[in-house]
Amino acid sequence: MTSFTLTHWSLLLLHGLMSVALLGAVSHQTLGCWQTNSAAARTGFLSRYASAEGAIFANPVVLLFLTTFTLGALIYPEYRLGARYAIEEMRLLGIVGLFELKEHCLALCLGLLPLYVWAWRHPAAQKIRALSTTTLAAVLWFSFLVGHLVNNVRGL
Amino acid sequence: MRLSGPAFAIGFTLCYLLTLVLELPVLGYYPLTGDWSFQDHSAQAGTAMHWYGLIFTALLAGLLASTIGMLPRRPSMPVGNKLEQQLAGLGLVLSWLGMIVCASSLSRYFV
Repeated sequence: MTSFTLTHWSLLLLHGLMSVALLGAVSHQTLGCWQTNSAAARTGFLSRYASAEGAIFANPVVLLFLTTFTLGALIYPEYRLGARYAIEEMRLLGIVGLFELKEHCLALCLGLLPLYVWAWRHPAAQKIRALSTTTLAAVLWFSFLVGHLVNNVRGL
Repeated sequence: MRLSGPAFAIGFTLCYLLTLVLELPVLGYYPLTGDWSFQDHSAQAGTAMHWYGLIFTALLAGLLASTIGMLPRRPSMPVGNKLEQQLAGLGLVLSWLGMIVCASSLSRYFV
Protein backbone atom coordinates (compact mmCIF):
# COMPACT_ATOMS: atom_id res chain seq x y z
CA MET A 1 0.00 0.00 0.00
CA THR A 2 1.45 3.40 -0.99
CA SER A 3 1.56 6.36 1.38
CA PHE A 4 -0.72 8.19 -1.10
CA THR A 5 -3.45 5.53 -0.73
CA LEU A 6 -2.97 5.44 3.03
CA THR A 7 -3.40 9.23 3.23
CA HIS A 8 -6.63 9.09 1.23
CA TRP A 9 -8.02 6.24 3.30
CA SER A 10 -7.18 8.15 6.47
CA LEU A 11 -8.89 11.27 5.11
CA LEU A 12 -11.94 9.23 4.08
CA LEU A 13 -12.12 7.64 7.54
CA LEU A 14 -11.77 11.02 9.23
CA HIS A 15 -14.42 12.45 6.88
CA GLY A 16 -16.78 9.65 7.93
CA LEU A 17 -16.11 10.06 11.64
CA MET A 18 -16.60 13.83 11.51
CA SER A 19 -19.87 13.37 9.65
CA VAL A 20 -21.15 11.07 12.42
CA ALA A 21 -20.38 13.73 15.04
CA LEU A 22 -22.04 16.37 12.85
CA LEU A 23 -25.15 14.23 12.40
CA GLY A 24 -25.43 13.71 16.15
CA ALA A 25 -25.23 17.42 16.87
CA VAL A 26 -27.64 18.52 14.16
CA SER A 27 -30.15 15.76 14.99
CA HIS A 28 -30.25 16.91 18.64
CA GLN A 29 -30.84 20.47 17.46
CA THR A 30 -33.54 19.55 14.95
CA LEU A 31 -35.60 17.54 17.42
CA GLY A 32 -35.14 20.31 19.99
CA CYS A 33 -36.52 22.88 17.54
CA TRP A 34 -39.77 20.96 17.06
CA GLN A 35 -40.23 19.81 20.63
CA THR A 36 -43.32 21.10 22.38
CA ASN A 37 -42.85 22.65 25.79
CA SER A 38 -45.64 20.90 27.64
CA ALA A 39 -44.66 18.82 30.68
CA ALA A 40 -46.34 15.74 29.23
CA ALA A 41 -44.08 15.91 26.20
CA ARG A 42 -40.92 15.98 28.33
CA THR A 43 -40.87 12.28 29.13
CA GLY A 44 -39.41 9.42 27.15
CA PHE A 45 -36.23 8.94 25.13
CA LEU A 46 -37.00 11.25 22.20
CA SER A 47 -37.94 14.23 24.36
CA ARG A 48 -34.83 13.78 26.51
CA TYR A 49 -32.76 13.49 23.34
CA ALA A 50 -34.32 16.72 22.08
CA SER A 51 -34.02 18.58 25.38
CA ALA A 52 -30.33 19.45 24.79
CA GLU A 53 -29.74 23.22 24.57
CA GLY A 54 -29.79 23.78 20.78
CA ALA A 55 -27.91 27.06 20.78
CA ILE A 56 -24.84 25.36 22.28
CA PHE A 57 -24.64 23.15 19.19
CA ALA A 58 -24.68 25.98 16.64
CA ASN A 59 -20.94 26.78 16.59
CA PRO A 60 -19.81 23.13 16.76
CA VAL A 61 -22.20 22.30 13.88
CA VAL A 62 -20.63 25.05 11.75
CA LEU A 63 -17.11 23.92 12.64
CA LEU A 64 -17.91 20.25 12.01
CA PHE A 65 -19.71 21.06 8.75
CA LEU A 66 -16.77 23.10 7.43
CA THR A 67 -14.23 20.46 8.48
CA THR A 68 -16.23 17.56 7.02
CA PHE A 69 -16.91 19.56 3.85
CA THR A 70 -13.21 20.40 3.42
CA LEU A 71 -12.16 16.79 4.00
CA GLY A 72 -14.75 15.66 1.45
CA ALA A 73 -13.50 18.25 -1.05
CA LEU A 74 -9.92 17.00 -0.56
CA ILE A 75 -10.76 13.38 -1.38
CA TYR A 76 -13.27 14.23 -4.12
CA PRO A 77 -10.72 14.01 -6.99
CA GLU A 78 -10.00 10.40 -5.97
CA TYR A 79 -13.69 9.61 -6.41
CA ARG A 80 -13.81 11.31 -9.82
CA LEU A 81 -10.72 9.52 -11.13
CA GLY A 82 -11.34 6.10 -9.67
CA ALA A 83 -14.60 5.19 -8.02
CA ARG A 84 -16.93 7.09 -10.36
CA TYR A 85 -15.63 5.43 -13.53
CA ALA A 86 -15.86 2.02 -11.89
CA ILE A 87 -19.48 2.68 -10.86
CA GLU A 88 -20.31 3.89 -14.38
CA GLU A 89 -18.79 0.71 -15.82
CA MET A 90 -21.10 -1.26 -13.52
CA ARG A 91 -23.97 0.71 -15.11
CA LEU A 92 -25.09 1.93 -11.68
CA LEU A 93 -25.89 5.40 -12.99
CA GLY A 94 -28.47 6.07 -10.28
CA ILE A 95 -25.70 5.95 -7.70
CA VAL A 96 -23.57 8.40 -9.71
CA GLY A 97 -26.62 10.69 -9.89
CA LEU A 98 -27.25 10.44 -6.17
CA PHE A 99 -23.63 11.39 -5.47
CA GLU A 100 -23.92 14.39 -7.82
CA LEU A 101 -27.10 15.45 -6.03
CA LYS A 102 -25.32 15.11 -2.68
CA GLU A 103 -22.51 17.42 -3.78
CA HIS A 104 -24.96 20.08 -5.03
CA CYS A 105 -27.14 19.90 -1.91
CA LEU A 106 -24.10 20.18 0.36
CA ALA A 107 -22.81 23.17 -1.62
CA LEU A 108 -26.23 24.84 -1.20
CA CYS A 109 -26.07 24.06 2.53
CA LEU A 110 -22.67 25.76 2.65
CA GLY A 111 -24.43 28.88 1.39
CA LEU A 112 -27.18 28.38 3.96
CA LEU A 113 -24.73 28.18 6.88
CA PRO A 114 -24.50 31.97 7.61
CA LEU A 115 -28.33 32.11 7.60
CA TYR A 116 -28.41 29.19 10.05
CA VAL A 117 -25.94 30.99 12.36
CA TRP A 118 -27.97 34.20 12.07
CA ALA A 119 -31.16 32.32 12.99
CA TRP A 120 -29.59 30.78 16.11
CA ARG A 121 -28.35 34.19 17.27
CA HIS A 122 -31.72 35.92 17.02
CA PRO A 123 -34.46 34.75 19.38
CA ALA A 124 -37.21 36.21 17.19
CA ALA A 125 -36.26 34.02 14.20
CA GLN A 126 -37.73 30.86 15.75
CA LYS A 127 -39.43 29.54 12.62
CA ILE A 128 -36.44 30.26 10.35
CA ARG A 129 -34.21 28.57 12.94
CA ALA A 130 -36.32 25.41 12.97
CA LEU A 131 -36.61 25.28 9.17
CA SER A 132 -32.93 25.97 8.43
CA THR A 133 -31.80 23.42 11.03
CA THR A 134 -34.21 20.82 9.65
CA THR A 135 -33.01 21.50 6.09
CA LEU A 136 -29.41 21.07 7.21
CA ALA A 137 -30.26 17.83 9.06
CA ALA A 138 -32.19 16.39 6.10
CA VAL A 139 -29.37 17.14 3.64
CA LEU A 140 -26.72 15.81 6.03
CA TRP A 141 -28.60 12.53 6.63
CA PHE A 142 -29.18 12.14 2.88
CA SER A 143 -25.50 12.86 2.14
CA PHE A 144 -24.32 10.47 4.84
CA LEU A 145 -26.42 7.64 3.45
CA VAL A 146 -25.39 8.33 -0.16
CA GLY A 147 -21.72 8.53 0.82
CA HIS A 148 -22.06 5.26 2.68
CA LEU A 149 -23.80 3.66 -0.33
CA VAL A 150 -21.11 4.83 -2.77
CA ASN A 151 -18.37 3.61 -0.45
CA ASN A 152 -20.04 0.21 -0.22
CA VAL A 153 -20.38 -0.08 -3.99
CA ARG A 154 -16.86 1.15 -4.74
CA GLY A 155 -14.65 2.85 -2.14
CA LEU A 156 -11.53 4.86 -2.90
CA MET B 1 -17.20 44.67 9.25
CA ARG B 2 -20.49 42.80 9.86
CA LEU B 3 -22.08 40.68 7.16
CA SER B 4 -25.69 39.69 6.61
CA GLY B 5 -26.28 35.93 6.83
CA PRO B 6 -29.64 35.96 5.01
CA ALA B 7 -28.26 38.12 2.16
CA PHE B 8 -25.27 35.77 1.88
CA ALA B 9 -27.59 32.79 1.43
CA ILE B 10 -29.56 34.57 -1.30
CA GLY B 11 -26.44 35.70 -3.20
CA PHE B 12 -24.73 32.33 -2.88
CA THR B 13 -27.75 30.29 -3.97
CA LEU B 14 -28.70 32.52 -6.90
CA CYS B 15 -25.14 32.61 -8.21
CA TYR B 16 -24.68 28.85 -7.76
CA LEU B 17 -27.89 28.04 -9.59
CA LEU B 18 -27.43 30.55 -12.43
CA THR B 19 -23.86 29.40 -13.03
CA LEU B 20 -24.94 25.76 -13.00
CA VAL B 21 -28.05 26.08 -15.15
CA LEU B 22 -26.59 28.53 -17.70
CA GLU B 23 -23.28 26.62 -17.71
CA LEU B 24 -21.29 29.82 -17.21
CA PRO B 25 -17.51 29.37 -17.24
CA VAL B 26 -15.94 28.81 -13.82
CA LEU B 27 -12.51 27.82 -12.64
CA GLY B 28 -11.91 24.16 -13.49
CA TYR B 29 -9.62 21.68 -11.77
CA TYR B 30 -7.88 18.95 -13.75
CA PRO B 31 -7.03 16.22 -11.22
CA LEU B 32 -4.84 14.20 -13.61
CA THR B 33 -2.42 17.08 -14.14
CA GLY B 34 -3.25 19.13 -11.02
CA ASP B 35 -3.90 22.24 -13.16
CA TRP B 36 -6.48 24.97 -12.59
CA SER B 37 -7.90 26.89 -15.53
CA PHE B 38 -10.87 28.91 -16.73
CA GLN B 39 -10.38 27.42 -20.20
CA ASP B 40 -11.41 23.94 -21.28
CA HIS B 41 -8.28 21.76 -21.33
CA SER B 42 -10.10 18.45 -21.03
CA ALA B 43 -8.75 17.28 -24.43
CA GLN B 44 -5.17 17.45 -23.12
CA ALA B 45 -5.63 17.21 -19.35
CA GLY B 46 -8.49 14.68 -19.08
CA THR B 47 -11.27 14.83 -16.49
CA ALA B 48 -12.32 18.35 -15.51
CA MET B 49 -13.97 19.22 -12.18
CA HIS B 50 -15.98 22.43 -11.99
CA TRP B 51 -17.51 21.96 -8.54
CA TYR B 52 -14.69 23.81 -6.75
CA GLY B 53 -14.95 26.73 -9.17
CA LEU B 54 -18.73 26.78 -8.78
CA ILE B 55 -18.43 27.01 -5.00
CA PHE B 56 -15.67 29.63 -5.18
CA THR B 57 -17.77 31.83 -7.53
CA ALA B 58 -20.86 31.42 -5.33
CA LEU B 59 -18.85 32.28 -2.20
CA LEU B 60 -17.69 35.52 -3.82
CA ALA B 61 -21.28 36.36 -4.81
CA GLY B 62 -22.46 35.52 -1.29
CA LEU B 63 -19.85 37.81 0.28
CA LEU B 64 -20.79 40.61 -2.11
CA ALA B 65 -24.52 40.16 -1.40
CA SER B 66 -23.98 40.07 2.36
CA THR B 67 -21.93 43.27 2.22
CA ILE B 68 -24.64 44.99 0.16
CA GLY B 69 -27.27 43.56 2.54
CA MET B 70 -25.71 45.47 5.44
CA LEU B 71 -25.57 48.84 3.63
CA PRO B 72 -29.23 49.98 4.10
CA ARG B 73 -29.02 49.28 7.83
CA ARG B 74 -29.44 52.30 10.09
CA PRO B 75 -27.76 52.20 13.53
CA SER B 76 -31.22 52.32 15.14
CA MET B 77 -32.38 49.23 13.23
CA PRO B 78 -32.43 46.14 15.46
CA VAL B 79 -30.51 43.11 14.20
CA GLY B 80 -32.98 40.40 13.22
CA ASN B 81 -35.67 42.92 12.21
CA LYS B 82 -38.69 42.12 10.05
CA LEU B 83 -36.89 42.83 6.75
CA GLU B 84 -34.00 40.60 7.72
CA GLN B 85 -36.42 37.82 8.68
CA GLN B 86 -38.14 38.12 5.30
CA LEU B 87 -34.73 37.94 3.57
CA ALA B 88 -33.93 34.85 5.64
CA GLY B 89 -37.20 33.23 4.57
CA LEU B 90 -36.41 34.03 0.94
CA GLY B 91 -32.90 32.59 1.29
CA LEU B 92 -34.30 29.39 2.77
CA VAL B 93 -36.95 28.97 0.05
CA LEU B 94 -34.33 29.67 -2.64
CA SER B 95 -32.08 26.93 -1.29
CA TRP B 96 -35.00 24.45 -1.32
CA LEU B 97 -35.80 25.47 -4.91
CA GLY B 98 -32.10 25.11 -5.72
CA MET B 99 -32.08 21.53 -4.50
CA ILE B 100 -35.17 20.75 -6.61
CA VAL B 101 -33.54 22.36 -9.69
CA CYS B 102 -30.35 20.35 -9.10
CA ALA B 103 -32.35 17.13 -8.70
CA SER B 104 -34.29 17.75 -11.92
CA SER B 105 -31.09 18.61 -13.81
CA LEU B 106 -29.75 15.19 -12.80
CA SER B 107 -32.87 13.30 -13.88
CA ARG B 108 -30.92 11.68 -16.75
CA TYR B 109 -29.23 9.45 -14.17
CA PHE B 110 -32.48 8.13 -12.80
CA VAL B 111 -34.47 7.20 -15.94
